[in-house]
Amino acid sequence: MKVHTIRSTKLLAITAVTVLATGCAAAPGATHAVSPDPAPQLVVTASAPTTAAPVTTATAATTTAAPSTVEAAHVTTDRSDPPEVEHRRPLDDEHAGATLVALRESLFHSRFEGEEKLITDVRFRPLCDADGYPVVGNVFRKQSGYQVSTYCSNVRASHSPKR
Amino acid sequence: MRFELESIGGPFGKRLAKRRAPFDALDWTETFDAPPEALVAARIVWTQTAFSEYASAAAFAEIAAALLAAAAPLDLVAAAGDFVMEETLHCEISARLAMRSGGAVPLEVDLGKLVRPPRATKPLLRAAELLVRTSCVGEALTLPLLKASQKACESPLVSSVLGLIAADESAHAELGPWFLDWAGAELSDEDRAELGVLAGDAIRAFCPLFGQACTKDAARLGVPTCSEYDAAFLSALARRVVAPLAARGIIVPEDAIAELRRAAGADDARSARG
Repeated sequence: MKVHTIRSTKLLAITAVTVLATGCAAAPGATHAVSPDPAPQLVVTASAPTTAAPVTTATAATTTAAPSTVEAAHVTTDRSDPPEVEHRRPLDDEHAGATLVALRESLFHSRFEGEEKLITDVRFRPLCDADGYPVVGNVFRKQSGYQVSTYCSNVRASHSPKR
Repeated sequence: MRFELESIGGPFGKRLAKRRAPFDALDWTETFDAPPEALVAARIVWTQTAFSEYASAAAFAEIAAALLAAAAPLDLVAAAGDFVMEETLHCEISARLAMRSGGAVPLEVDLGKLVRPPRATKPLLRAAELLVRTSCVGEALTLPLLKASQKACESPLVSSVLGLIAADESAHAELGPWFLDWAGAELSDEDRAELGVLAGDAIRAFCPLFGQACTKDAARLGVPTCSEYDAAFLSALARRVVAPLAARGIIVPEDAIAELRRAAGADDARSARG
């Protein structure tokens, strides 16, 4: 059997960029539109921040050999009313060229200043029994425990302008 | 470690393509238009859901091995193996929804402790322990909770995903009772008492899910309100867990049910017996 060059696809990724972009940096009552990008390609775009906290518009996913397995999470933070929603289809690898593909990879794997600490500081745990084994079944269907408001305040604190 | 997932594609991706097709056929271009807190709540729930499905896949893998060791009927073994694949697919789809909601939240997990090892040494009882915990308790509770989520859900995409997952889960909840019916005479009264205690322990572990505030407005993305969730859970506990086990001579201890009902703010244990 020949040796294969493996290029795996990220299905689930922690995206602190979108932690900031989705929800937490918003004013009370704001509505966010999270729109998909049907093409499962990596796109990271920077947009002008509209809030006190640094805000980035991000689309996080990876290039892929199996397109249907990845969903791009395209987040906008534009607070105009109604929210702006971008519908852009990135070029696939074949048409993007090596330079753009390399740039995508670089951007996807890059971290903004303070992001590592943010991910370290703000974290969740699965519901486990007394011995640390996860509870059985898919029962975590309500959001409880660590509250969204606490989460968001931690996110903001972790990404204060001083950092 | 932090919970993240990847796939390798190629021939192994193609093997899943047929089973993935109903999910791929959904309209993934839908825009999630929701209040900020609802989006964060959805990210938390769908990240946690992806991990729950991952742990369930591990549990059915253990069950398949335990069934083989117990010389269980081959079609039961094959079903357990098939469920590993289904839970893996559910994991992938849940991850997809987490990413669609804005990305995963940092979830710290211990992949070395995905499944509680059975206490028994006899192969038959080891399989029974795994199946009571996973199928007769966990999976039996999962289906009505998914349906409650689907009922409250306003997003066509999320609703469809919940429906497709629920369609698989009902068989997962049936494996345990079928095994117990097959094992029947081989299980002693002591074995059944031990299995009842084990089921009670599994039920007690759900207590932290109750009695805390819930995020409003997240129902549209498949996160039911506390009242809807609590009612569905308690009803399912009585009808789908306690009663079917009792019918097979496995009695869940009263104090385990009472503890859960207290956590949920309900009155007494009697009504949970159905």
